[in-house]
Amino acid sequence: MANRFCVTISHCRTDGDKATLGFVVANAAQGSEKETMIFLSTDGVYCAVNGEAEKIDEGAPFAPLKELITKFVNAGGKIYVCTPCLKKRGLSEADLIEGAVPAGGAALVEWLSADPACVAY
Amino acid sequence: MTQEHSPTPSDSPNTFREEMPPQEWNFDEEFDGGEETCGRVIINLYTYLLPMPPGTKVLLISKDPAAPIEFPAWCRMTRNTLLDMRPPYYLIEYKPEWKKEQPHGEPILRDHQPLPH
Repeated sequence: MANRFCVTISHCRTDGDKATLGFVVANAAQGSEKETMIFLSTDGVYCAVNGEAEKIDEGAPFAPLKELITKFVNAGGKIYVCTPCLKKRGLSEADLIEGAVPAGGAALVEWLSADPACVAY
Repeated sequence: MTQEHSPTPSDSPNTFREEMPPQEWNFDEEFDGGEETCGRVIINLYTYLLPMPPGTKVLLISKDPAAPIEFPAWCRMTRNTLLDMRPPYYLIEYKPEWKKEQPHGEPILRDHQPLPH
């Protein structure tokens, strides 16, 4: 059984439901002692942009997105944010929340090549 | 500390089984996940257990309908021992394999490396 896990999320403003569920599953993985990485791409980068996650709350039984992100980071989870996806939207590292790191395809490929499973939202 | 559970005079045998964990279970700590589900209850449970000494017996309570599937899977992945389960009650032993490494019952904290910036 691999000790790493990956969740890719490509929605935030476009689909708060998918963004929320991606972080819920990532919390389940990190909470199951899998070294877990979330890779945010396309519209998903907004999950890690200051002030954006606060706008997403799908309601019960889901926690607000900001709460899910904070729990994930505090539990040791990693958040990688697609660099070209940021640039395309006029964003930079300075716009990101603490704990989120700009990264590119090589980081994602290296992570997945260590044999973890990956789920996409 | 070990908690004791005694039925009150108003408890009927049926309500006792539903509202209290089995009398024969001994445990040191208690975690009530309420009706929370999926990753929410798992991440809360994980962070709750982190400072516990190996060998701590914990009563889990969860009304999540998926809990009979979720907790056994989580215990297998995290090498905690599921001693017994009678939904909504679950009895686990936290990290029994670590007891040899930490014979004095010291908690083992996971190494949380700061993320690079």
